[in-house]
Amino acid sequence: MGRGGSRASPAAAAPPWHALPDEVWEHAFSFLPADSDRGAAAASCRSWLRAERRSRRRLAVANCYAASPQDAVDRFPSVRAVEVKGKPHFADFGLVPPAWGAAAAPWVEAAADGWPLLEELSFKRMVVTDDCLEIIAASFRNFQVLRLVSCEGFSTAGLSAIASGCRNLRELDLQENEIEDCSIQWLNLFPESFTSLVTLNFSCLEGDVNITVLDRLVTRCHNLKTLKLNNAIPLDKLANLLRKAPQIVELGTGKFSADYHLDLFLKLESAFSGCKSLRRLSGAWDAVPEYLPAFYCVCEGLTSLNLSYATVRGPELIKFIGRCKNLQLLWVMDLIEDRGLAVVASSCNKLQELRVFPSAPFDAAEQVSLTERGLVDVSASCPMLESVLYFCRRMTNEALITIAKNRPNFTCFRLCILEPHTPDYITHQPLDVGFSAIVESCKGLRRLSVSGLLTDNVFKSIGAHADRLEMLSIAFAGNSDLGLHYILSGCKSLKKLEIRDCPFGDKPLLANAAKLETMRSLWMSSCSLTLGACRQLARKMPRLSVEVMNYSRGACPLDSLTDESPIETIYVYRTIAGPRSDTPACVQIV
Amino acid sequence: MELELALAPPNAHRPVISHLADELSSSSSDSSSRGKRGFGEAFQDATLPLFDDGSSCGGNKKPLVGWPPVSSARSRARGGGCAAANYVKVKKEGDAIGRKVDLSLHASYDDLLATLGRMFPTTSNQDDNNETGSSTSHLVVTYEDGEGDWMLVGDVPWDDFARSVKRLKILG
Repeated sequence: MGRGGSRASPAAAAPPWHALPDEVWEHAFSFLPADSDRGAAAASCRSWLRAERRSRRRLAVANCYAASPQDAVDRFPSVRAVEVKGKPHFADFGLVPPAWGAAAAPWVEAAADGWPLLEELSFKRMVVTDDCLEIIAASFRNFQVLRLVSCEGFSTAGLSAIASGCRNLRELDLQENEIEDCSIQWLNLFPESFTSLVTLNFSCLEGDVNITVLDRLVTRCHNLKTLKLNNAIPLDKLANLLRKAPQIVELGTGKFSADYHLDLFLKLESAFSGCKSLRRLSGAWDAVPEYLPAFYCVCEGLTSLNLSYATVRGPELIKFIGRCKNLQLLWVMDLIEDRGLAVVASSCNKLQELRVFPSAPFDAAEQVSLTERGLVDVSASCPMLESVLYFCRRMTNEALITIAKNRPNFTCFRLCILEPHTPDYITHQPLDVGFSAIVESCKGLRRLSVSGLLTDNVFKSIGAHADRLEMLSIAFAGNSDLGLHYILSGCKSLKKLEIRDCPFGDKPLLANAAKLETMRSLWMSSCSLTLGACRQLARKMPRLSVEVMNYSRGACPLDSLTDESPIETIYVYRTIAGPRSDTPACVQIV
Repeated sequence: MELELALAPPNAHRPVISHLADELSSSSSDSSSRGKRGFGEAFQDATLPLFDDGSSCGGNKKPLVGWPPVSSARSRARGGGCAAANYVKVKKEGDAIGRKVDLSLHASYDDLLATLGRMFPTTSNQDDNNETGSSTSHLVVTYEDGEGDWMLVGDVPWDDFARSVKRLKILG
């Protein structure tokens, strides 16, 4: 309005934008999907902090000891969905002492008190007791989603409480937990009136399940989309269940062995042909290859196939996978071999994620023909491939360079050469050049695991080029303190660093102490650290918790040890909660 | 902790053992005295074998903890998959010739009964359309346990049963 060139001034009645009421900001923030964006907004100024935290609905606590449960409840009073992670990643491989910690109970208790409207709870690598499950069942009237991943400490008695108490349960997702079987028929405790289940995953349960009850449950839950069975469900029962739930989108088969019988084959084939919506398939497949054709009718529609527990091999397996032209995710055993991966490369052009697991990880003899060739083929022909986990026995720099050139779009590259210190098998050189090519080419790389024979040079490249790298895993690599120094002084986005069996000592740790506060956690085991360095680090960085573990020697009163004492394992993480009080005898906080 | 006589490589943090005999004769582990380490410290790390007969290098290395990095869930599953076959004889009362069934391929009683139902079809359980899944439940199966007693199948947890069963008998 008015003359051109002059800006219209705001009407006098409208408030300046920075004085808008909280409700407006809360509404604006609801459009920020990522927690990191919300966190950034909250850090701008007090009023945004206030608006953001009061309206936060989803909370992810990546380290249960980084803050106390009460802190979380006080700061974010309106949370409806929480995810809490406990033990460090290396706990999956038995490197964390038993009874280390990560009890879910304090979180469950605080939530029961402060978040009565909680709908979703997810725990990963934590100790969840039956008591916890009972409290969950009793405290949240609109509880809908329970996800437990790699947890332990509970039994089927706890599951009974969930089944009988959570009237609005939509998802019960139990992944890779250790669950004690009390022979309680927990499935029976879902009331007859209960029909809201969308996801039921009990694949990790080792005990028997009442199939009649399961059948009735599946029949009455018309919205069931995900069903993952355990080993107690034989093939013919699987076929019956599928006929009751043809709307299924994700299926985990139970035990898939059984001698071949034509009538059972036909029954399975017929059941699967009715599952027009099936997109994701997994299971414990001690599969007899002759049954695989029963799945042919669903292959075309599959986007995700997890055969990583399947011992089936040979032409039947390869034919089967070759029919799955729309696969985005493939997890498989190395029994697929290079020739199978060549078929994947030519057939599965939409592949985004590939994981190849070792069928005989502890057996040194090479029985399976899976080499660098398979990975090279897949990365050459699958343009959308961005995430790889690959266990193999040999590798070359040339292969890695080729892979890096073909696939600059990798976000996750994890290569595990089974024998430590394995060099390039043709040139006998370290694999520094190959892994350097990966980090130089893949600018968006967020996760990297290195293996094979590696010197400090590879860490120089990683430190310099891996700007977006958030998680790095190193084992049996490097030759001096320099290696660790390169990483800690570079890698701008590093959040988690886990190291085992490397000749890294005190100096780089102390020289880069400040870096550790910008990271979520650091794990170092079987390196060359001393207690003195840990003490210095703890003194210098009060907002870090420095945990020392020498469990091979049992309880070690640290006070009696000298600074020169070698330390087996440290786990360092930033925290606002101060030192935790629930450490077992073999773990001490410096 | 295994008792191994060994030399330790020189290390910046630990003094070199000069006399192994001295080491073993000093029974009190006085770890604060320099030059001698306590029993526990001496055998803590990877050490070179004193008597190298070739078996300790290369081939038969002690298994590393947590390597390769395969989750315990996978190791457990694989252990089950690679279990040795566990064939037991199955005889039906009145039949002259018996069968054999591999228990390691089964994970539950339902599993086993399904297989037995197929192996020993009778007119009443040939009806495969029975959807409540109890078509095989009228097979009365007994087993001989480790102590030689004949027991009804189904009372004990599956794993205990699979370990102790010697043979099966189906009552006609």
